[in-house]
Amino acid sequence: MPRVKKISEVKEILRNKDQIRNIGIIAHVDHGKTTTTDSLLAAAGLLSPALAGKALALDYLEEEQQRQMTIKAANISLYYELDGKPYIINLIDTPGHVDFSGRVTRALRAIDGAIVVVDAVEGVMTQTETVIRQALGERVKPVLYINKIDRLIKELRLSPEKIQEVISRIVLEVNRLIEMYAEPEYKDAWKVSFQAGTVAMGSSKDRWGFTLQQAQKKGIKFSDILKAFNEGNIDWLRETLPLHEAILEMVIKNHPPPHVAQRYRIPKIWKGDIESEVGKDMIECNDDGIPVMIVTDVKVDPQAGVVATGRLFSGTVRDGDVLRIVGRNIERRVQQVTVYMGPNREIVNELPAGNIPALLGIEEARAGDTLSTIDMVPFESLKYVSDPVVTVAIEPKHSKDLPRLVEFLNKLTIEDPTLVTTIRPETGEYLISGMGTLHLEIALTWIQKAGLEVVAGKPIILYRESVLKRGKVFEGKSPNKHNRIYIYVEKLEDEVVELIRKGELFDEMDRRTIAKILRDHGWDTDEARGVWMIDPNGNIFVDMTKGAQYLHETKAYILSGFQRVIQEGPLAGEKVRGLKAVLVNVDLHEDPVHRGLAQIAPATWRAVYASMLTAEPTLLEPIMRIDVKVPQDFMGAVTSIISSKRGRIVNVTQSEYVTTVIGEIPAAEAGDLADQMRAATMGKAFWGMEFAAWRPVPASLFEKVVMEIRKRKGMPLKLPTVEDYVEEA
Amino acid sequence: MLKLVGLGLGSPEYFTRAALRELEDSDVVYLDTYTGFLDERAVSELRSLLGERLVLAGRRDLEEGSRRLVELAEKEEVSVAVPGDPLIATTHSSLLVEAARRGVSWRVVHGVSVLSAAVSRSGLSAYRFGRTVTVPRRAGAEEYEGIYRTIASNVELGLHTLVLLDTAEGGLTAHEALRSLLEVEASMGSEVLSRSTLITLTRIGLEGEAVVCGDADRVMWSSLPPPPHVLIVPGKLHFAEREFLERVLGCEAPRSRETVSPTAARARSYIEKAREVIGKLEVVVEGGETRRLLELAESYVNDAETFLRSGRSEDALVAVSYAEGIFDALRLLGLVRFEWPRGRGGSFSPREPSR
Ligand SMILES: Nc1nc2c(ncn2[C@@H]2O[C@H](COP(=O)(O)OP(=O)(O)O)[C@@H](O)[C@H]2O)c(=O)[nH]1
Ligand SMILES: [Mg+2]
Repeated sequence: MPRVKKISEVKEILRNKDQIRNIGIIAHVDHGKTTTTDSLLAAAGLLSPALAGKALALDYLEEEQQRQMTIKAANISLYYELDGKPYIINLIDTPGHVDFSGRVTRALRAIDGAIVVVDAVEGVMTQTETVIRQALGERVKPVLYINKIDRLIKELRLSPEKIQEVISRIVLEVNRLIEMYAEPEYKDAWKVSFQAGTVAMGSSKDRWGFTLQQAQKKGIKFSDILKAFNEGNIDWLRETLPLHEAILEMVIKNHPPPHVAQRYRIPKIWKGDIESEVGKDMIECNDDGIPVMIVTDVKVDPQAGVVATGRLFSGTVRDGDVLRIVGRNIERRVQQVTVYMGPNREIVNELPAGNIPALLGIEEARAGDTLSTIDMVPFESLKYVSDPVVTVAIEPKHSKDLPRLVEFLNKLTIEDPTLVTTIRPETGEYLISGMGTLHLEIALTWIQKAGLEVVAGKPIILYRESVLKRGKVFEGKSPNKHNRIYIYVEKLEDEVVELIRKGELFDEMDRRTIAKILRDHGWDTDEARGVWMIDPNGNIFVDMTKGAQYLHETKAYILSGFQRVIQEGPLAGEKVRGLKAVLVNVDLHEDPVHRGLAQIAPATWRAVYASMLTAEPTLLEPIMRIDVKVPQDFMGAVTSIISSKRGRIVNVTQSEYVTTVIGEIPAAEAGDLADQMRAATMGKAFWGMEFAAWRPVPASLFEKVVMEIRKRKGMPLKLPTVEDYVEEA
Repeated sequence: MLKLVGLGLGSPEYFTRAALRELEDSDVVYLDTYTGFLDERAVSELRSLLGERLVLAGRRDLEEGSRRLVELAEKEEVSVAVPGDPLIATTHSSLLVEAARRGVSWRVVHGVSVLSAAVSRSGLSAYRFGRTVTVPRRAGAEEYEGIYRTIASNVELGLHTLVLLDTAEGGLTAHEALRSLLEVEASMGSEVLSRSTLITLTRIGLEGEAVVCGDADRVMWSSLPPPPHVLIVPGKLHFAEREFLERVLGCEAPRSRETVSPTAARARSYIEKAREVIGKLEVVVEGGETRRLLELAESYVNDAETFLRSGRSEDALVAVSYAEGIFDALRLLGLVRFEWPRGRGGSFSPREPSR
């Protein structure tokens, strides 16, 4: 099947929405996402004539290098002909490890179908569950690919009956998750089965695979496959049952094309009015409609600069179009519209709705942005304030590398906004913060791969400060004593914090909608209407003053005082989470020069800090969820390691070959986990960790932890008191 | 002892004997460098008079350090030297409050304030000024809006406004402030400043003093010496004031605001709209109370007109709004048919979600 296509041919195919599929691969870590992607790319990646010659060389490329490509590409377009009709399948990169940042959801928004990859030996794991739940939450239709069948035969030496049993159980478990998490109208329609052709199995490593239909059509029985495998006849398997055929046919037949999917997906994934013009355009995937694109990935290309890739839900984008970054008041001209051919980009000048354009020229775009020509409700609110839980200090080995390191760190944060870098050459501080130790490890690997040698310090756990109850009203005085601000704080309801975290409640929302959501969560009408600011870290500022003078003019200053509190809590200067601050009254100076920022901001933070100290202030620590697979014999060792680390066992499940222990441990205790686990299980444990929740540090450790942080930051080694912020009466 | 010593308009010529004597008698003198303007000669004169005892003090020293300062004054003679009159247009009163609370003795030495100098130089009657306002160096749109409203509400009452311009960071010029105020005015669709006579007073009491009086264009196009600048927006002019502006300040045809207040302007436009509606309204359902209610609405519009003529613009606005309410209610009930004319004003739509 010729995969070498002229740009003009590709453009022609991309005009016919029936011949497009936008999909992604989702899986638990190590179940074979990368290997599967590689094998699809090798067999079906689109090639432009200019690259075709080199493509031959591609096969000879070092494997590592080839992997790099799949890792780096935001989208890989594949080509397949089914019943004589050409199809282009966009395989959009979804983040490898599950994190807390919404990146997974973002990528899921751009795809209409997902291939769920499950390791035949390990079966359905926690991340499998998480990604299936998230995919269904975005109305992404799943199909199942059971990978590493070879391991069942070779490693576990199971009989054919046993193999079939294991496979049926995985299908059953996946369907149980679909039953649990799909919306009622999709529960039955989206269950997977051999009969329906929505389950494939195979070995990505050896590049063979099949669905029931394909095997039957080719007259191949399961026993033939086992026989070939046992005889080591992998070439025959690869030729007769090529993996890409199995997967791509399954995708084309079962995943919806963009215009079909958008009808039922837009009402779910977009919060705006679907009766509006832009709403209708997206539902109809209208080429002539208002352009709307959601950016799922931003890369910095050494030649082309910033490349923003994403899903175009409506309209047509052309070179020279001016697009605005919705909600950010930025307009930029599209320099070039390109698409991915295989893992490379080619210029197409224009592209209609339903496709995955990669745009050059929108320098400020970041993953998560909505691009359009109008001001519309964005797909997600601006959450560049990410919520990292660990940080590590790095230092270049050779000081001459410094400029390159700084440049590379900047590039990293553009590409992954959940990675926060702090660069302070004055103090020689270079910090990278991320969503977990794994996240930081990945970042460090990238730095190394860029040829930069760095020394990394010990990871530092980031805490949050919060309150547990309602504090007293305090009067904050401005430095000139001519302004007084009265505020109390209280704990913000967990469910509201969760809404903020999920991006369902954000500052850019229209105030009426905010008021309605908060009333639905039990807020009093006046409070719900008085919201001044919703901070993405999970804090809210509410105005409950009545007819206060000059308030409108000082609002920005009061909020900037509150911002400071959110950035640096009173206990240890850590970020604040779950705080509701209520402004009850203000007394402001007549003349604007005497109520500027320098007066109002301190008056505000003094009152907020003081009130926090009377509201049972607490320190929250990041808790990680750990998921361990071990042979039965080592289960005891694993549970006792978890318990010894202030951990908690959440669940233990036994299957024939492995025991799965799910637990929670504070991130602060996870430091030497790897070594201990290896030693205690003789290296037989497979485990993964992800961020689970913020929880109060136990009372017995509270003071110790606070003082450690204060010491590290050079703050006075004593707990703050109310008098530090407000004068005694 | 804590002494607040006023230094006058900013040149050494305005130092009073009383001020110099009290400063000389002090153990330490904190010179306020942020609430007002002092020229270089004034500062160097103080330095040669006081030597080491002179401390240049920023906002932080005098505000956040106020307690320390008062504590010091328990034992020593501490002066805070302030441009102008020390308690006018500053927030130093809090220092005396602190001193009184701690039982520290204190004294105030007065200086000439720009507040009185500008008013007196303008020739306008001091009795006819409304609220004074200061424009901060880095005021944002919201603050300019507030400042504009102060001016407009003074004008509405026929009062003049003294607009002080921040002297921080080299000082705000009348041009800068006026440009921003005119922008705000345009965005609000109002025209108080663009149709008023304005007075800019620059460097009063200092070298290069200049006064320009004229309309906004004249002020914007005249070149002014460097700050400090002050702006005065006259309200309604008494004939003696008008004469002064013309003959002494050289203003061509000073304009007195025959107080057309924003409220009155609004009431006027609403009344016009209501009249238009009365003209083209169709009655859909005859009978019942429709006609009677329409008559009632019309008489409210008439009332509004009468109120407006007798200068009761707020009552006029209330009356016409009431009429609008009746029209809207009839329309929502389907009893009459009409559309509000487009443009500013007209029917209200609720800003807040209903409960
Ligand atoms: N035996 C076997 N190993 C596989 C297969 N597919 C992937 N692997 C191995 O599983 C590991 C994880 O695969 P990878 O594709 O990186 O997983 P990812 O984390 O989901 O991207 C690698 O060591 C692969 O070589 C397979 O079909 N059979
Ligand atoms: Mg991978």
